[in-house]
Amino acid sequence: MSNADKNKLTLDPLELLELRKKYEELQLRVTRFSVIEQELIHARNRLDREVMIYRHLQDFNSMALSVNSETGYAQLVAESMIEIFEVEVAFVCIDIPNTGDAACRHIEGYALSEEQKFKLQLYCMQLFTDLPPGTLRSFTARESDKIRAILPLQQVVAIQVTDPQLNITVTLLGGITEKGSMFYEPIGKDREAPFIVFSQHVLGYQSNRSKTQTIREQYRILEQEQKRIVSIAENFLDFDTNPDKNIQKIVDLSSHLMNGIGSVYEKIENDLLYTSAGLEESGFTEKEAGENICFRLTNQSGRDIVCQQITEEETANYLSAWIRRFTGKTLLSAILRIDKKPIGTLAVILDASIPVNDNIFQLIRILSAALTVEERRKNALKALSESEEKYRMIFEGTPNGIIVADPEIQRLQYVNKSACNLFGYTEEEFLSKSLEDLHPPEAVEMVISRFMDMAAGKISIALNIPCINKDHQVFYADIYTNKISFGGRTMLAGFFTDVTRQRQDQQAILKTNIELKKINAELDNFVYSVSHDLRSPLLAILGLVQLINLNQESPVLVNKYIHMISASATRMDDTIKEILEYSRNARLEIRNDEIHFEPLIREIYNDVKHITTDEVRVDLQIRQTTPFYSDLYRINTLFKNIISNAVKYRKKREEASYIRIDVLTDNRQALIRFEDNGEGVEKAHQDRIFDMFYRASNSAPGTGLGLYICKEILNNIDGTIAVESVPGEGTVFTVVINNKKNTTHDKVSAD
Amino acid sequence: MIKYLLIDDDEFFLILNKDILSLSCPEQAVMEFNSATAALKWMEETLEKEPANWPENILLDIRMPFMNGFDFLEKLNDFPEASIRKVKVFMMTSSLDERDFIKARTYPSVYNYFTKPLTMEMIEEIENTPYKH
Repeated sequence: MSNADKNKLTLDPLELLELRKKYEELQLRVTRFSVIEQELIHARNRLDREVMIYRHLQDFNSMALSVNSETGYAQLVAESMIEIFEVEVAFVCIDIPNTGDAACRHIEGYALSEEQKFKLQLYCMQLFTDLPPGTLRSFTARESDKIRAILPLQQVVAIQVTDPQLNITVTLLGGITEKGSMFYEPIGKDREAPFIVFSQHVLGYQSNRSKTQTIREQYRILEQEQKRIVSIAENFLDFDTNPDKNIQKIVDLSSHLMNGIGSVYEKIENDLLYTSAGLEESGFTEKEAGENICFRLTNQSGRDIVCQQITEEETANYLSAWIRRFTGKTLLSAILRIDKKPIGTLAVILDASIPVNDNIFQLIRILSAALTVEERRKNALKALSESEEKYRMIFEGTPNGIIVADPEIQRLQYVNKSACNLFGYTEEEFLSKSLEDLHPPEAVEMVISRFMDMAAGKISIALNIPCINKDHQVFYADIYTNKISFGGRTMLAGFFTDVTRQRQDQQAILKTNIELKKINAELDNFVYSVSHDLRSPLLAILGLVQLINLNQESPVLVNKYIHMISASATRMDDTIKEILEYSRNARLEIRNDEIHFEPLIREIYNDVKHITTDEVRVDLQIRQTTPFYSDLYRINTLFKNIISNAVKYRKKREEASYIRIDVLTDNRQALIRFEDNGEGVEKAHQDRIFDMFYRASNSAPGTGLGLYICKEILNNIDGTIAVESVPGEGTVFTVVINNKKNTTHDKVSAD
Repeated sequence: MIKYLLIDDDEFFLILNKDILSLSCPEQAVMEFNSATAALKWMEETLEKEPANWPENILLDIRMPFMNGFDFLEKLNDFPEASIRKVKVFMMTSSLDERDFIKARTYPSVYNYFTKPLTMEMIEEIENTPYKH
């Protein structure tokens, strides 16, 4: 104090005034600082709150993520409002279109009935009718009686925000029940901005939720659609070989795919009808002849695919009642055509509520196309089976054996009935055979080489191929081959013709030909010899006539020549006679005469003995107990030739010549032995003396025909002749002739 | 020397030919055989023992038993060349077959081919036929 008193003492009034002024300025400044401080404190509080709000928002966000229902979300929003904005009552209404008529409402902090909630929503709706979206509206409850009728709120703040794209509206309403209550704090301006932000946040979040849900829903639909399409595809992929079954499948599918009541496929041609299960259940099973209702209904429109309402008047004319059952429904039908000609109609009956769009038209177009394909296939299969039948008949009906073989593995793949008959195998046995089994072992190599040539296309015909049948008998076949496609492989088809008969005939012809050639040569030889033998005496006569002319003055010579002429003429006559004998034997029918050997031989001997003046004795011994039958004329010639030979070729100028003839007959045969003591036959000639014109001796004139005729005669009358001879000593001819009568007897007794 | 050798199985022609030849040549100059084998045998003997008797002309029949005219001609080839050259063979046949005629011409020792019977004209022709060599 003393210091101040000291200062007081020195202070003049002017200074004091100055000081006073400074003090007042200082006081003013302090006041101003205090105001700024106050403001700063205020601002810090506000910032703290905002930070709090944003922290709450963050919490809200993380919680919202785990909420999976709309009501759960509304509840979360309401709870968050109470916590963030410190209201007592929070009402949340989220209005989402296409989720039914119930908007999602929630109220927190006050128990309300559904009805109250609904009323509150209506109120809010009216509240925001005139306001642009996003406007915050703050008002006291007194402003409206309506709100007080619902809730006893003192102060209310509300905001409505809308997503115009998704048409989602979020309405938030916060309220304070009583002014001055413990929790009361007016909703001031400082909370407006966060409230707006919060509301937009809630909407944004809801929009995202809705979008996600829509995408999820669409995804789900797509997935279902995909499953359906896959099942349809599977259905189609599981195609049957039988077109009829596929047609039925397509008809069933038509109804199924379009969610139809039923479907029907009418065939125009033969009144055939395919119906889906749905149509059958409606009591429709059979179509009346020639009706073709769907076709007529469709055709009158002039288009191939028609969608029309089934009306009373249109169906009234039809006999069948089935179509009338579906009056009021939609008939989607398509006319099927093959080569522009209608073959039938595929029709689906749809509920009138099902929207008929391009997709459904496309669907029925595809289904009717599939049906047409099946119908074509059916026709093709029918044609194929007809042609198969035709070829089968040709294959089976042909007398040629057909064998189809695989050239690569050399196995048989197919044989027809004629081939089976040809080889004697059953089809089953046949197919197990290999090439080696069908031909004789010695021919197999050649056959396989031919087969390979055929497979290579080098040759297509193999003639006279030896084959072997089941009984190991060889036959011959001409084989013509062709390549054919059989079960997707190139096969060799062989057409077998049995030529065994032909071959036999051919061989017989060849044999006959050789025989004919031989006969021809014989004939040639015959003509040559005969002409010679006939000409010789004639030419001799000419020569003799010349000699007579030259020796006319000598009667002795002339006489000699005349005798020779006569002898020549006789010789010629003999030759002619022999030829005649030969020809008669060949030509005349064989007779059956009873032969009495004794008189026959005596007579012949009497004729023959004139050949010579020499004495030729004949000893005849006949032992004939049973009658003997044969051809008398031929036996006469036979004996005459043998006996005359014995006379002609007797040994001249030696001991007395003789012929011993023994005849022994029985029921079966006659054995005749001619023995002479003539000049005999050289061993070298013995085999040939029976040949035509063969002459073993020149000691007497002859044609060389006699013994040949004998042999020919015995061939005709069933007998044999044999010769034994020692040259210079004699000859024995042994003749055996069958008793013809006897054979007849045997036959009779045998019968 | 044998001028004519007659070979024929037909006795008539041997008689006939010998008689007509006797008008122009001595009997001992003509030899006759009724078979070719006999003629060959004689020729072999003659060539060996009396070559001077080797025949100048042979009148040969074609159609004979055992050995025919052509067989004879084959056998004739077996004789020495020089002796073959000295013999002229004339075919005497009743055959009208052309084949016989053609075949006969293939034998070099055959000089001519006549159809029976033998005539004076033929004898003259034979007489006037020169040797080929």
